[in-house]
Amino acid sequence: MTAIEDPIKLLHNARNLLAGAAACWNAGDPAAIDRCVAALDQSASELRAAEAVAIVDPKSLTGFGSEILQIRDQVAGIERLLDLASAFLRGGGWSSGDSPLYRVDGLEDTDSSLRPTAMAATRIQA
Amino acid sequence: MSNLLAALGSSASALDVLQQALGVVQNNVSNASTPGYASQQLNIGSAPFDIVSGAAGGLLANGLQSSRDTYADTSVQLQLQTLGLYTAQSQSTGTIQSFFDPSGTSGVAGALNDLLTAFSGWSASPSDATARQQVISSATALADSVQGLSQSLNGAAVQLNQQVSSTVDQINALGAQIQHYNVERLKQNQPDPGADANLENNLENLSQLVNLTTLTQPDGTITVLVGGGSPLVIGDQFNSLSASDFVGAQPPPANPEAPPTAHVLDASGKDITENVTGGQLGGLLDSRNRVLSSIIGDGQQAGSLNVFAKTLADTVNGILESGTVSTQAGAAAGAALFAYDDSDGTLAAGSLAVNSAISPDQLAAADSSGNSNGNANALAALGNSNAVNGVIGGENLVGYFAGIASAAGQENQTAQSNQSLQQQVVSQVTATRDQISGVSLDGQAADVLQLQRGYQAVSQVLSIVNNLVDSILALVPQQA
Repeated sequence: MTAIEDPIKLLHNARNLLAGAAACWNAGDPAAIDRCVAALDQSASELRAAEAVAIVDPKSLTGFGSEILQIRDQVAGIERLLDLASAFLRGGGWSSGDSPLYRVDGLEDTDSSLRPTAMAATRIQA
Repeated sequence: MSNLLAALGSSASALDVLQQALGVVQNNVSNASTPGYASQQLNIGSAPFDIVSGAAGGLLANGLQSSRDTYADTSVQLQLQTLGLYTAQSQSTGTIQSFFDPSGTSGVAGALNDLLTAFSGWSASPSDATARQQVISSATALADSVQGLSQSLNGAAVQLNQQVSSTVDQINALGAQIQHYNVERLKQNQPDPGADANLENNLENLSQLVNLTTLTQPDGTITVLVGGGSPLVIGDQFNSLSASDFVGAQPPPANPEAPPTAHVLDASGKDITENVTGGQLGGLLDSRNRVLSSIIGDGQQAGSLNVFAKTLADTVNGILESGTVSTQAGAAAGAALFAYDDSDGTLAAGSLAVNSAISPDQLAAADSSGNSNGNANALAALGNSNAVNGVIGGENLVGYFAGIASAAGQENQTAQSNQSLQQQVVSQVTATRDQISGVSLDGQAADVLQLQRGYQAVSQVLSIVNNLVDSILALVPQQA
């Protein structure tokens, strides 16, 4: 059994890891997504350890409620990015499926595979 | 409040970035079959995210990245130039070859054989009127056949000259489009993928027409040099080529009446024909000015068909005019069987005819030594392998004409073989280029699936983190 860690330090670590996850976020890069998942995993470990300490000694968290709420906001921020990215993958309702960008010679989009109706049906619950 | 506004701003900018990304993906898919299109990728990065400072995070678009590979594009252009050359050679030499009968039983070869047979029959019956008439009839058929072949080949020369002219027009049209690209490019700071696709397509079409070199300038414009260095497009300047048919004046032509050869002139009027060695234009010029000229002649050479016609006529006439119509004392000298225009070396085949004044009894079967069929025998021997008369370059008349037909066939066979091989080379370099810069629909779909799996993993971990945060928050003692 290792020495009981400082829950406040654990919460700081978790918060820093969440910030790192947000910083490496790149919706179009699978490798960046993997790095983001790893950072979130590590953050969850820190929070789990903080929870274990707090269960034994709840007073150790006295006065740190606002910091925990900031962590919650941080998580909400990443969720927001995830929602938007998921909507991108689904070809969300904000897209008409007709890009104004770089269409060569005014060619019509004859491929409907990326249109909203044909996009993956899986809805990611973030 | 400021945090809420920051979050809303972050969402709006992220939405914009993702909309751009979707547009790029859709554009890639839409243009998967667009000639010259190189797939694009939107680089997406993250914006600063810090609750304390109020930075709400989000996505940033870090510009488009094109997968275009200049080296791969240049390789395709070079191979297309060679393919264009072989394709034009194959088609035009095919036309030339079609005028010759490969079996040798019809056309000029067949008519020559018939005439030699008639000479042989005449040598057996030198006084026979029917045999004499047969000689004249066969000679007429041969002369008509040579004339017909000459007319067909000269007609092909005119057609090739016209094709050279129309190909130059196509080159100029493409050059004007590239000039237009340059003009538009000078107005923009960033390259436009659609315009780039058009440019690449135009360069590939141009490569099929003529050998060229392209240089990308620092301002993004393309310089196109054709035929070993003649500028076609430089920046916003377009220098048109022109086609012209004439008998070269330098060196002074030996045959001023020769059919005019095809020439290509640059914008300054300089003759760049010799430097056009690739593309369809190179193939057409080669077929017209080298292959066809070697047969029908040009300013400097009479052409093998004219050499054949002239040698045939001179040899037959020489033998006949050296003898007499009979062995009787005081018999008249023989008359010439053939006539042709000898004012120019390139006119012999086209003007070859039977002497209009000759009658069967003017044919001299007897030689100068008094042999009653000496001349007829000598004429019948023109087709022998050991013939001493009518020999050109070591070949008798039959062999020489067969050589002309064989050379035409060989040119076509070589061109067809080259074209077939080059088509494979072009397919390979095009496939390589497409792997680099083309749009892979499978690849686009795989990217989307991979991202989807990544998002699911993020979602699951976030759910765990959320639960932990809620749990910890519940443990925080309420302060009085």
